[in-house]
Parts: sequence; C-alpha cells; structure tokens
Amino acid sequence: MMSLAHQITEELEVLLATLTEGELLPEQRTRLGQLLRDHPGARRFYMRYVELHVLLEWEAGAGVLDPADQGAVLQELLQLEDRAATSTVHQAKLPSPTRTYQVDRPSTREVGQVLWYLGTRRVVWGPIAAALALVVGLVVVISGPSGETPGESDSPAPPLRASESVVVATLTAERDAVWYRRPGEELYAGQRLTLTEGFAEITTKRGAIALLEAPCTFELIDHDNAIRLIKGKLVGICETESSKGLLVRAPLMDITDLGTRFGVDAASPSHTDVHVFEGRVEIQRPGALDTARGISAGRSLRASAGTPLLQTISHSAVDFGVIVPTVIRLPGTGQALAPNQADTNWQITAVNGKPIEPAVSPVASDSAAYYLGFPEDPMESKFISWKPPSSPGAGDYFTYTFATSFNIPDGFDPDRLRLSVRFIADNALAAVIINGERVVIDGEVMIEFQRWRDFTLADHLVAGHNTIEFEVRNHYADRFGTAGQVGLRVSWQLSTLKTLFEKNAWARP
Amino acid sequence: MSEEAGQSEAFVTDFTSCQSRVYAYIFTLTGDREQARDVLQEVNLVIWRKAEEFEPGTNFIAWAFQIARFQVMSHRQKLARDRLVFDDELITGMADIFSEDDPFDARREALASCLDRLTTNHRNLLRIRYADGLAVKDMATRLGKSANAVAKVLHRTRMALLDCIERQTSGGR
Repeated sequence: MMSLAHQITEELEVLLATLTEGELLPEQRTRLGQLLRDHPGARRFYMRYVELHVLLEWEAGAGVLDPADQGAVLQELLQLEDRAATSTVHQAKLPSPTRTYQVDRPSTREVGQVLWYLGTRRVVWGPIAAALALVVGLVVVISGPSGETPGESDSPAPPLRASESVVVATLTAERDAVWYRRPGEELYAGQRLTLTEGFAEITTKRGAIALLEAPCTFELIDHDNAIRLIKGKLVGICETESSKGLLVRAPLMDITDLGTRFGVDAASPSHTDVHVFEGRVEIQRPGALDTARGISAGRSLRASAGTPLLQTISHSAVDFGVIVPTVIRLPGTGQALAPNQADTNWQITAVNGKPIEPAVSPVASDSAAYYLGFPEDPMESKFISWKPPSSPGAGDYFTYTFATSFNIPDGFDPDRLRLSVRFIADNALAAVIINGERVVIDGEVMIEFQRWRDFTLADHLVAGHNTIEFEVRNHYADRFGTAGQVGLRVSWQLSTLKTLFEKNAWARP
Repeated sequence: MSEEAGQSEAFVTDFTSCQSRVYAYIFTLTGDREQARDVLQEVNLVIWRKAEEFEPGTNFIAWAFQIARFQVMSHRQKLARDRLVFDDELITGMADIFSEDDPFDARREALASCLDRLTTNHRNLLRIRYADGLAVKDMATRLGKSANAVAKVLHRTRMALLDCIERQTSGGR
C-alpha cells in the first residue's frame, strides 16, 4: 500500500481528505482521476481509503459526547496539531494496547453503530422498509425521519462514564467458570471481564441479576444498575422493585428492563437478539431517532448490523444454557374459533357489577374494525365480543365483566409463576380481578382501544383452579343510539424460569 | 417456517448485511458521497423489485455489485458533466478490481479491533466526525481550531487505522 512515491502519496492523501469532506474542486477531481489512472497502487489505496471512510460512517456508533469528552478532544488536537506540523502522516502510529487501555473505552460495536444511524438519516429506507414489512411480514420498521439533523433527535440512554473506584456490582455465583474471579468479589465501574468457559451470576448494586454464559465479554459501567455486554449471552432478572430498570448496553441495542426476565444474545457480531421471557423490556438502538420500542413476554426481536430494521424472530428460551424455562400456554380468547362461534371458556358475568342471569358467552368476532391494525391470528387469539340486546341502564359508559379460569398444574409453585398478559379491550380495560383480588394495571383505570397493551401478574396466583376477571368499559351507544358492542382480545401464558444457580427446581418436570 | 418464508428471511438478511459493502462500492466508483447516497437508494429499490430473480444459494454480493455497477453508469447519464468525478474508463477499471471474494468482512472486523486500540481521544474525534456527522469545518468551529488542523488529525487517525487493518488482515500485528 505504501509503495507509491512519497510525493504522489502526499498529494493523494490531500485529495482524499478533501474528497471525504465532499469538497473536491473540478481541477482536483481531474488530478485525482489522473493519479488513479496512472498508478495502480494509487487506485488500490484510494479504494481502501474510501472503504474505511464508508465503514466509519456506516459503523461508527452514535455516542453522545459530553462536555468533558469534547474537552479531551480539544486538548488532543492541540497536542497533535503541534506534532503534525513537524511530522508526516506516515509517522502516525497506533499506541500499543497496553499503553492505551482506557477505563472508559467504548465497545468497538458501540463505535460501530452509525450504520443504523445513517440508515435513518442519509439513506431513504422508507420504500424498502415498507416493502419488507408488507411482503415479508416479519420486520418492524423503526426508521426515523429522513434529513433530521443530529441533536434534534431523541437521544438514547444518557452516556455513562466510567470510574475506577466505584463498586457497581458483585460476582454472586459461578458454575464451571474459567477466569480469575471468586464469588463474593466486588466489581468496579470500568472493569472489563471475559468469561472463557462456564457461567457466572453478577448482581448489580440495585439487586438486578445478570447471568452470563461463556464465551462472554462484558464491562461494568458507572451506573448502579447497568452492564455493557460486549459479546456473548446474558439473562437479566429483575425480581425486586429496586432492581427494576436494569440497563443492558448490547452491541446493537440498549435494553431496559421494565420488571421482567429477558435474554440477550450477542454471540454473533452481525446481530443482537433479545428474548423476553416475562414482563416487558424497552429497546433503543444507539443513536436512534425513534423513541424506545417495547416488547413483551413471549416475543423476540433481532437488531442486525447494517439495517435500521428490527426483525421479529422466533422466540426461544432454550438457547440460553444458564436458565431452564417452563411455559404453560393458556388458550387465547377466541382461539381457533370461527366467526360468531361462542367462546365457552369465557363468560360475561356482570354489567356495572350487577350479575347477568344467566351469564353469556361472547362470540369470536370478525369485525373489520377490530382487525384494522391488529392482524388476525386465529391460532393465538381473536377478539371476542358481545352486543347487549338492550340498554343495560342509564349512562354513557358501562363496565362488562369478562370472566374465565385456568389451572396451575401440580408441581408448580404459584409463588414462582408469572402470568404474562397481552390484551386489547374495546373501549378500555378498567381493572383485573385475580382470585377475588383487584389489581391495578400500570396505575391506569382507562386504557384506550388503540394498541396492544400488556401486564404481568406475580401475585395472588394459587395452586389448582384460578379465576380471573377483566372489567371492560364500553361506550353504551353508537351514533344510531343502539347498544354498543363490547370486545376483548387476550393472549397469555404462565411461565417460570429456573437458573443454574438455584438448588431447588422451580417446577418439577 | 415455510420454505418461502425461509427464503424471504435469507434474502432480507443478505440484503441488509450487504448495505455497507455496496455503499462502499458505489462511493468508490462515483467518488462523491451525495451521488453514492442517491445511487444506493436506486440500487436498493432495484434489488427489492428484482428479489424474485435472485436465485437462493448464489452469490448475493456479486448480484448486488452487478446491479450497483449498472445503476452507477445509469446515474451518470443524468448528471451534468461537471458533477462527474471520474470518466467511464476509470470507473470500469475500478469496478473490475472489485471481487465478491474480497475479504471485506475481515477488514470490517479488523476495523472494530483497531478502533479499540485507538486512544479515547482519537475515538472521540471519530465520533464527532462520523457519529455526530459533523463536517471538518464544523468540528473546527466547535473545537476552536483551524479546519486544516482538524483535517490533519482526522487524516492521521484514518491512516493509522488503515495501517492497523492492513497488518491485521495480512497476518501481522
């Protein structure tokens, strides 16, 4: 690469530095073309230089520099400018890794995320993304508005600065681990650890648990509830109130726990997968112009290098050797029923708390209004609905109680089970009553009929027979003054998760 | 998953993973970022429209290069002569050098490793330039330095990275 005559090399380098800024003058273009035509070595150098520029544009992670970082850059520039005045570019050398190791070094993949950033800013992805979504049906578009300038966008999680002296987590357990660490050891912000073989359990200062599976490299950052996963697999468990909000900064996405258990698979450099076993997490692509995207239990998404798209992938907990998941799927509303067939698993038992005698079973609905924006999935769930034959009383809104029951089989400890529910209610879900206990859903009384919502219940479950009621509020009359149709759609599951570090099984096989 | 869905998924994977490589190819042939961006969009649309013509199992990147090369030449015809950086002959000569077997991914991986070996300040400089998307002149304004000084440091950083990538991919450290 460096066999070109020194003079040509210098001239070429000036031209290329100008080219990368998009500021080549006509005579410079002519000269560049001439050099590339006349010198095969120049041509090869040009190709490598442009490729590097593109990769940096495409891959450099969109980190937000804080003022301290900019100050550091300024100082570096001051020093380097002086040196540059008296030396040629070929004297620039990479310092050795041992000398240059920085506590707050970002992961290489973090520096590598501009691909996505550019995908949203500089390349019109809209038609492609839309086509992908429509034709393939397995991708979710998260492309941001084109042409938006940096700084106008929503930032990802705030930058996390490292410090050598802050204890942020503890190594609480390990199994077959190959590394020079011992359980009970405190871990500091800025420490980068590699687990060559086996499994390890890290507990953050706020009590969140990160289970790591080799081969795995991760870094502690200056945050009481966060971990940077550089490579490998991690399962996050947040069981206590204080541990909620665990942030996992993975190579291609940031994952924030919203009270849940989830797995992150960053074993491959080309993509990062997130699997939500229970509850819900929020995903943010580094540098994303979009706000965070939430996903709930039983769902999995993949972020790939080189694309702004998040791809829905098949959900799999079995890929994580550090956990033993068990899922009991419950039949969704209207599952496998034809339109207008009664769903006898469910009954509408009361209106405004007043029992209906006899209770009625809602029917599977094929109303186009219900499926507009919520694609029908008859094998998982359909809307079930009921239209009162006459006004159930005076007023604009009525609350209808949809009741059903499910069984927790022998051998499962109800205290370790989670009930993950995904629902849409027409018009809104007012409350949920589990075994006679009324529970608050996200602190809301009224949730509008406009998108899937979800919640996870960990309390009030009992062994054997369980009853659950969904109170759905519905506007009484349509515009013709007749009784309105009330509807509910639910997909749900019970699940447990046992980790390798637990002595007692959560569920007997 | 059905065979069709599997193929669609494979196509999407190929399509998304080749983006930076195809962009680099187009940028090299056009010598101009704005043109490269325009052509990449056209190429992506063509790839998507012709998806059914792609035979699963054959070389996706070779197919994408072929489409990109055609689109570059086609795009040139729409441009005023003074906006063209290279002539047709040079473009053809450079396009012929590109090979689908070129170890692009190895260099890409090496770049990640080499970035890791830069000092924090050099990485931050690259972040401002590439992640924040600031032009050199804007960086200079922000940093209170001359554009020439910023350009020099940026260039030296790129050269150091090129050297590192070259060493890593040729087996030397």
